[in-house]
Amino acid sequence: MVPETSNVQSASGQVLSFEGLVETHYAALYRFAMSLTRSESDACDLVQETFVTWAEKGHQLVDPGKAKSWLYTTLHRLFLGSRRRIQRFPEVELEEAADEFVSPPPDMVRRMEAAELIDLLGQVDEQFRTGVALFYLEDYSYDEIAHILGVPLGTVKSRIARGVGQLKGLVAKRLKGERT
Amino acid sequence: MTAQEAKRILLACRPGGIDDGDPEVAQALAVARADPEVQRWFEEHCAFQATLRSRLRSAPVPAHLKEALLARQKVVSLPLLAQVETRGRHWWQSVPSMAAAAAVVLTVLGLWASGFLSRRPSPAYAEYQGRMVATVLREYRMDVETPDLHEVRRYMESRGAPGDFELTPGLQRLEVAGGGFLRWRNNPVSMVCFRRPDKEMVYLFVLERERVKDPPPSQPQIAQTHDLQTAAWTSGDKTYLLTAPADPDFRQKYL
Repeated sequence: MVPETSNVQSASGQVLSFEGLVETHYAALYRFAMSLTRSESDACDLVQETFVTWAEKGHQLVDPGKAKSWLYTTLHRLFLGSRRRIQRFPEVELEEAADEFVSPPPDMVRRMEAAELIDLLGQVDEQFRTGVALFYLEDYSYDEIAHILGVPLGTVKSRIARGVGQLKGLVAKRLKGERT
Repeated sequence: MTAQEAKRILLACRPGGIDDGDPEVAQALAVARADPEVQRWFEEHCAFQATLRSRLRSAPVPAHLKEALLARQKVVSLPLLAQVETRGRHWWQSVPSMAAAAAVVLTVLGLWASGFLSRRPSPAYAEYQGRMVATVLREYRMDVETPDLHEVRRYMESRGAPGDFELTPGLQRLEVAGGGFLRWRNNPVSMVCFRRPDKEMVYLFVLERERVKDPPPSQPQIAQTHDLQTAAWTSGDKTYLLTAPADPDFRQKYL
């Protein structure tokens, strides 16, 4: 018997087990958390807290098809909550992104470590970063990202555009630094 | 729409048509089709985006994370052992028959296997337990490395963490390796590390009882993960969580 708090059953009888959700989503949630926290241990903690919250409240979810966005929304809220408690990472001052329209060559980006790119994503201004992470890591639509972040659609599009521009600038700067 | 405005909108446009239905994106794409320079820029941008997306999605995930997440599912409660508690004494001061205890353990494990007794601890404590297990599974650090338990106690007290903890008879037989100061939900936690003769480590986490809304009972609750066993109990004003490599003699060795 599986504990009722860890499972959601849809009207059609579909059961979302705790193990199944972990199996399907933990890696992507961890990468999302890493982009937010830039710390492996903090990212692990956020993912843990997210699944603990699921165990507590997941049964309240009416539509099991929304479990994935529920997990992302919850992780994001937990992150915001933790940021209120402790400001561990000072915001990186970004120069005006002169390179935002310059696309670094894909073959050079391909040679960069994935963890390094996650770290650069983590340096994007926090207000833009979350949208950009969901944009790249999960292929969420603008509407879905707006729902997860709880902000208007226009704001999401603007934040993603600015965040992508910053990220391009950061990648270009890192590659430029490697060449010199 | 100018070429610059179109580029700014297309910064948030992914290859593959995901965003093409958005009216602003559609308008910007029309500008790109009519302007070779914007079109070339957009093609380069899409190539960058595709590569970046692929690389970001290949970022490594800690090997222990999945196990730590699933660990909290594998709790085996031993409520029947509560019957052997002697009122007014620590649970380890009562001397239950080992054979009877083993029989109970086997019975409960059997019931667990058939799915009758599986349960998770209530949420707040479960979160604490999961976090501490994750600490053991991933890298941790000892703030003080010493075989002197008094030194560990003094260090913990200096950090505001519990220092006046009690050790079970099993832990008293182990060599102290040191300790680490941790925080859980901003609450101080003492981590005391013990070294077994085979150099494997055993960890005791101590938290003030009032810091958790649903502390475990005075009888230890045994949990089993893939390769770790835990025992959780409350004594006095503290809750204790012990983690050690899975061992058929876990109870006799450590409790």
